[in-house]
Amino acid sequence: MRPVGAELIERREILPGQWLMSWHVPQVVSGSRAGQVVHVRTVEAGGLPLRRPYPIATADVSSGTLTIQVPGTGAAGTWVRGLRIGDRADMAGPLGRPFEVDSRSRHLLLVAEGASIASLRFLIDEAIRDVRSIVLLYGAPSSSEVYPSSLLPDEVEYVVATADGSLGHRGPVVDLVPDYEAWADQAFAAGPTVMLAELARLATGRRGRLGVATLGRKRGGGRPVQPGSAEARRKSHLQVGLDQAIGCAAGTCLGCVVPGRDGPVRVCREGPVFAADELDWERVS
Amino acid sequence: MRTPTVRIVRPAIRPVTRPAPPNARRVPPAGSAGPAGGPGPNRGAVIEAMPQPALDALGGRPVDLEVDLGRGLVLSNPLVAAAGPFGYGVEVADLADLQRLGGLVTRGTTLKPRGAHPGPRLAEVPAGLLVGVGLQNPGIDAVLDRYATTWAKWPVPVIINLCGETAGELAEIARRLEGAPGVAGIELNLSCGAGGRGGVVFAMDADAAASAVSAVRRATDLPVIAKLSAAAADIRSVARSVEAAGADAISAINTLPGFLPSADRASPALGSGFGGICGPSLKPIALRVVYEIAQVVDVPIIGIGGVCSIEDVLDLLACGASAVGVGVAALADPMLPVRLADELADACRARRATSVAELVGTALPSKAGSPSTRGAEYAR
Repeated sequence: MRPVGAELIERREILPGQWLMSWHVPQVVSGSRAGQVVHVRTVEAGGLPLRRPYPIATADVSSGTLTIQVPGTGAAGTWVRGLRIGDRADMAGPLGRPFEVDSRSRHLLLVAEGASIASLRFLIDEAIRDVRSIVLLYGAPSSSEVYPSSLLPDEVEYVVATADGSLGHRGPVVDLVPDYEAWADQAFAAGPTVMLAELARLATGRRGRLGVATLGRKRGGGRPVQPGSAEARRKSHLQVGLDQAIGCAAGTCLGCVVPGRDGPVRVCREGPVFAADELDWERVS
Repeated sequence: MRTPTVRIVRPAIRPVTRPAPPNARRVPPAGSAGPAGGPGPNRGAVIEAMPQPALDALGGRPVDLEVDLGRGLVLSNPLVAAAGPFGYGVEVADLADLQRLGGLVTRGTTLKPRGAHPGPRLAEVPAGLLVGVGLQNPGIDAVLDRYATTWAKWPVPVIINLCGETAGELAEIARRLEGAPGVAGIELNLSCGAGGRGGVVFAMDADAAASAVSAVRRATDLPVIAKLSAAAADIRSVARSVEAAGADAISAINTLPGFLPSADRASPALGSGFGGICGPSLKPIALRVVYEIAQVVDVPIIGIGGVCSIEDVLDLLACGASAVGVGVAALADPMLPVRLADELADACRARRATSVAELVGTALPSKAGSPSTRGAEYAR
């Protein structure tokens, strides 16, 4: 997938140090799905030799624009602040495998922490289009870092947990999950690996289920599902979007590899969205 | 059009691979006078015997970009994809326009399949990247099985990067490459070995490096390129000993070991702990090593380390490299190596050079200078 030129349409700071950037890049927008990423070449002083992967937060085919959420810290922050509207960037995508929602799922439970919410943000749009109900659980250190509800559609039930208790539940966001398990048909998560591992453990303790729908699983087995396939993700009760540095995005450099249950898997090709039971959470760091 | 294997020793006058435009011979190569004014008595004859490379799109002067690495391994231009970023090439063949490269060096390959270091495997460092992939590869047999028939159809020579713990293991892999289609040469990653397990890393020591090279040399007729490490205390003696042991060419340098703590400073940033430093931060070290070994060996050198622009290419050539490898910069810009090849042809024209060889070693002293560090290790 050759990179194409993207034009910066809009940029605003939605949280301290978090920038929402809107790019006009019709070639990438068409066919993009929730969970997929764009690989952006950020031009930085010192010559950083790496593209950066950002989940597509929203995509609008009619206008050919997409948004990404860029943490404005470190070298990437210098790049973001130096850009002007109309500037161009080199962008490859959409990359990777998307979130898969089972057609019978009515209730989606979304769990996010930090800037990783971007990949679930796109899933919200897709789910609303398909008339599903959504609960979004969001974790942040304090109220000042909570994702603004103004950026979420009204249809979403938004529940917040903060580490210091300044807004919503006091404690980790995973604490909120048991309240919604009986309601949810499928669960989707994005955030730090520690949180995802905790969720995966929670799901394992419930026989791999963070949700109640049967999702095509016949009692007592049925046809085995090919690991890594869209079907495996669709039939999984928990799908996770991993946030990893990606080197080549072509599957050759093996820089983004994480331990899978059946051997190492590449985030850029087999991911970034995995069924939680496809990964070896003991060794994912 | 392609000969079945590039391991054919080519005739002195190489066939023209692309048809020269009709005006190719009529354009006198500016900057090199004809037979009358040439610097040497045979100057004109040499130019006459040289193949006529195709003109560039704008009808610019032809420039001879070929690099002969020995044993019939001739690169169409000096730009090589260094080991790592492009894997085994097959997945990125179109993305990176590989066929226009001088050569493709594969990911490091071992005798047996090697598993993975846990993540994270990449971390950013000033002007570079810390990489801890840990030689993950499916093993030489699986590699040949999967990719060799594809390579055999490619015009670009594919050079296999080999890693092993012992000289015997390296020789065993080299034997399996004998007769394999599509394998044009071997790059020996001497930054491996039994270091830390009672043995020595080949590249650190002249004798160990020579033992690895000569074992592989005995096992195969393929061109052998010895990849040296800047971590060696006495790089000149290592270079001399691999040359004496039969290396056809030398590549320098590999990544250097580095370390970075994680963001919370509670553990290493990489799952592997240590990583290899890649990127522009390596460039002055690569230049130093190439500059030093070019003064003491006669075999061609592939300069590798932090190449991001044509300036980097020209610097390495000036320090004595005949070819240049592009590493981690190709991750962000897969077309970079090919673009640099085009820019190199333009740079030759701008300098009125008819052959890229004229740019090689221009910064070298007329006689071997003193080593970069003085001390007992340079006594021999």
